[in-house]
Amino acid sequence: MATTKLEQEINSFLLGFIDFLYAVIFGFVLQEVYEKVLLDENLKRPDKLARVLLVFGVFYFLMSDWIYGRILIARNPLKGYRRFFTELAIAFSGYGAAIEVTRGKIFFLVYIVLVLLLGAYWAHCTIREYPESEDKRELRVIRFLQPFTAFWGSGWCWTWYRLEGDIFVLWGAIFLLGLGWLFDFLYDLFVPVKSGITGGPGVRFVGKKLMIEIRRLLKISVNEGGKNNAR
Amino acid sequence: MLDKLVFLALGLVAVVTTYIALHIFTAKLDKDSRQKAVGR
Repeated sequence: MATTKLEQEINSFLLGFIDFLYAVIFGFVLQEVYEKVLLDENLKRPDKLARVLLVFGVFYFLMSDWIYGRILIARNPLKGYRRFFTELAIAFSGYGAAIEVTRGKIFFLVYIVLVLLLGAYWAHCTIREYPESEDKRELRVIRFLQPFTAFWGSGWCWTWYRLEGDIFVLWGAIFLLGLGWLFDFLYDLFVPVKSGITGGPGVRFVGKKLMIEIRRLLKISVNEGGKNNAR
Repeated sequence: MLDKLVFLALGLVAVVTTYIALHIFTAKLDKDSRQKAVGR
């Protein structure tokens, strides 16, 4: 925890600055989805649906990333400025993803890949700042998993660009959403979230009891009272 | 149709390899922490 009142105050205004940036991004996403997608009369319905679905997916990804980041910082406050600047870079990359997804470009995945890689670096910095943190296991999983996911994300993006071009279509959007959900599911499978508000939103559509049952079937042993997951 | 199959295969490979990698990695993490706990 932050040791002095001054450190707590500095943490508070640094996080306030980042939260403001995220608020701008979320406001921008909402504005763009109306102006460039829903109210665009030249866009065909399947293309509109594809963009709305992926905007929803990117919005959810950035929102949960922000929530988990805040939960982890509440438990492991900033000690220096490295994580703060990494957070800024993550917010900038999120902005890029939001712009590209409302334009219907597959390159939004490049920015998602950047968010994932920066998130892994952020987790690495947190481990270095808090070598004995209660979240160490989760942070190590994040540091391992996110570059892995980034690799597959960039592979998917490159293959799409080579075979289909730079614009995504409805079936690709549905497929990407499904894939995103599966990766979220895998994360929760191996890093159980705490129940209640301190655990974050967790994977959608799978309750805690069902998840425990799935773990039992797959013979995955984890601490069910687990800590937070995050980036 | 072929392109859809390519993406389906790519997605499947991504999910399965990630599952296996996470399985191995978390098992190693848990083994390390158990050994550390015994060491104490």
